[in-house]
Amino acid sequence: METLNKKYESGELNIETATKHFKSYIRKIWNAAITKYFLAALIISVSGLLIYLIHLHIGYQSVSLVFLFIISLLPLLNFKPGPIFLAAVMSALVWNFFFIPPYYTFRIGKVEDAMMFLMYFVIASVSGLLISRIRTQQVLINQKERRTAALYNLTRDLSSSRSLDEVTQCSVNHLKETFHSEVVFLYQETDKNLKSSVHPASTFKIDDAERNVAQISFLSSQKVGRFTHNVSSISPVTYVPLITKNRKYGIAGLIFPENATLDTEAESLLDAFIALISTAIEREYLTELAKNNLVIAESEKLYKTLFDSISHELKTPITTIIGAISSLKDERINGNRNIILQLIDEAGIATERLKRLVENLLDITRLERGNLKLKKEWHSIADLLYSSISRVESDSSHRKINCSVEDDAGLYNFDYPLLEQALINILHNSIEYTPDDCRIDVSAKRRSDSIVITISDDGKGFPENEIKNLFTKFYRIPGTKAGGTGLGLSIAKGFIEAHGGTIKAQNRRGGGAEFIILLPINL
Amino acid sequence: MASQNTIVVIDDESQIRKILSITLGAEGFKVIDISKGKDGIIAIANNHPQLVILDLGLPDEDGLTVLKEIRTWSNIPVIILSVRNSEDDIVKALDLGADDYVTKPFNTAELIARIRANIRRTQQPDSQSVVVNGDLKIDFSKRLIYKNEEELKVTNTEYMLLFLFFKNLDKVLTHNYLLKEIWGPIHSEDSQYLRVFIGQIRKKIEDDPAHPKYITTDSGVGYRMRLINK
Repeated sequence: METLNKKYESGELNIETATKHFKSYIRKIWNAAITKYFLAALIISVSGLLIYLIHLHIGYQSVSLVFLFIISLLPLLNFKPGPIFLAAVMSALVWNFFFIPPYYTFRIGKVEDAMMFLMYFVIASVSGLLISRIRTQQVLINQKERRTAALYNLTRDLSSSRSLDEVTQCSVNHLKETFHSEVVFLYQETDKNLKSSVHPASTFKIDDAERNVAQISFLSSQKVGRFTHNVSSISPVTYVPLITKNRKYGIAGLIFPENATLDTEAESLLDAFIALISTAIEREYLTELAKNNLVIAESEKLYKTLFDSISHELKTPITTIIGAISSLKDERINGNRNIILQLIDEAGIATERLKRLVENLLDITRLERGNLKLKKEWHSIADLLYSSISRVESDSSHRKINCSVEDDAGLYNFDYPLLEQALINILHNSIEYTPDDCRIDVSAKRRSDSIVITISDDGKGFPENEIKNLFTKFYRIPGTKAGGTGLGLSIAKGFIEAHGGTIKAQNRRGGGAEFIILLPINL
Repeated sequence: MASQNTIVVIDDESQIRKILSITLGAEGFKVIDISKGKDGIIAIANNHPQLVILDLGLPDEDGLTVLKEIRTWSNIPVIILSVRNSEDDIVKALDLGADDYVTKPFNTAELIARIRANIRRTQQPDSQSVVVNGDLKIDFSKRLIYKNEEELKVTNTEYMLLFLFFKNLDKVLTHNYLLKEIWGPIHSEDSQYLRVFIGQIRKKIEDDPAHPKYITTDSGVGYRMRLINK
């Protein structure tokens, strides 16, 4: 960036750019300057005529001062040195011919008049030319200032852009403003191909033919199109590759105004713009890459955790079942009826566990797919609570599950199997993570706008900083005992939310965990 | 002195502990089942069991850590039990001094066979000069191998390998262990050496080298010389 600016400001020119300069200068004379010559001649003629009307009052010597005044004004009206010189010569001759005696000849009678004529001629030419040069330099300085400001603004805006889209939008705006052009950005699909559609921030669209021209620019890493010496210079668009030392990112295309010229200065400004923009794009690209890598690493970690957990959950009951069945073949074992019954029990429990795992996996898939359809019917809340409790009672061993339902809890319109599964999952959670002799309380009451179901226990409660993670899929509190996928509570939450309800977990003041479910009553 | 027929089972899954208690109990073993690694170490110290069954994935500390701890003060046979049937973990455990491994889900008969083999190995006197396995016989004092009483011509390296296999009958020997023992620690990564030598040995000792019955492969882990009853 800095080096670019320096190069640009020091105005280094090589031979090629110098000849270009010369050519454009000639062209200017032919195009615009010729009118200025006429204008200069006209101004001198008209002012000569006016002065002629009053010259008897002011004396022929003051006429030179008036002419000098007029010539010094010319540079301010954007007259170049040529016309000014013409004006100086013409005014000197007019003065001599019409005003210096003897009149209507170029002869000068007095020596002092001849001196004055000569001095006038020199002063008029020199001052006119000097003023004109100052004027030109000022214009150049202004131009440079504008360009520096444009670069500065671009740099500032690019550095505050936070995504590829923002960088593109900002680039389009600045290119459009500085070069008065329409702008298109086309990013790469692969190393060798551009995307088929332009970036949405672009101000115009391109057709297939133009896209091929852009593709040439991208592949050759060179400017292609209008103002270039490359193929397809018939294209109305100038394509510039977005390129850094490391790689290519795409192309920018600009449509300059019909009558525009792209002189050296403008071209180097464009190059500086594109270099800055490419760097900004690269920055965003690398940031994105770093982010993606992080995401991949995270998802691989998640995948491994998930895989470990599921395979553990699958293999444990299968191990039990295979162990039990293979033992039954053993002669020393299958003679003992007591042991056979124990093995069958264990196999039964393992099968239950496997069934629960499969159900959980199916439930979470249903939730994930997002097309959960509720089959709502009117059921009693009390029924829901009692049936859920009876479904988990076989697992609860010595734990006491108390249930209290207020008489007016009444009926509620809901999908019975789903909410029952949600309650079973929560109850199961309470049973799994509390000591054997724990007490679990389930209650339901009706408020004006909702049904409140509370499930609480008098166990250890949750670690305070883990409560926020309880309902996260596959999440298990570190250090908890083996068994479980971390799915149960997230399924419960999903099913409750499908009914428009909410669930939250908290620790009870007296110790123990508490789940509070709110189901809205829509009247 | 090890208590007769006592086995300590360290596994975090209560179901696995229960099924092992039932089946091993029926086989006449006394099972002490423990869910945590630290408690397991204490139980081993207190009860002097004949064998330990250790799960690799424990909640409080990794099974490998428990194994390392046990190995600092005891040579008791340890059978690794794991749902992670990833070979890397098994090899790590074996190199840390585990005697054998069984992956879940396992067949009870297979587990019991492994348990008995490992207990038998510890009870065998180490000073035998001749060991017979099926048709094979090795004479350590003369450095000779026989098949059906006929002497087999083996190279020095082949003899060294066979020596290790006969000394560790029915025990899996990791690639790492075999390479280190025979070629030294520098070559512990070059398992293709082993494949070549094992191939040659099989040609000499096996009836059908394509379906070996003496030296079998535990894929990804190592080789094992099976105990063959005549």
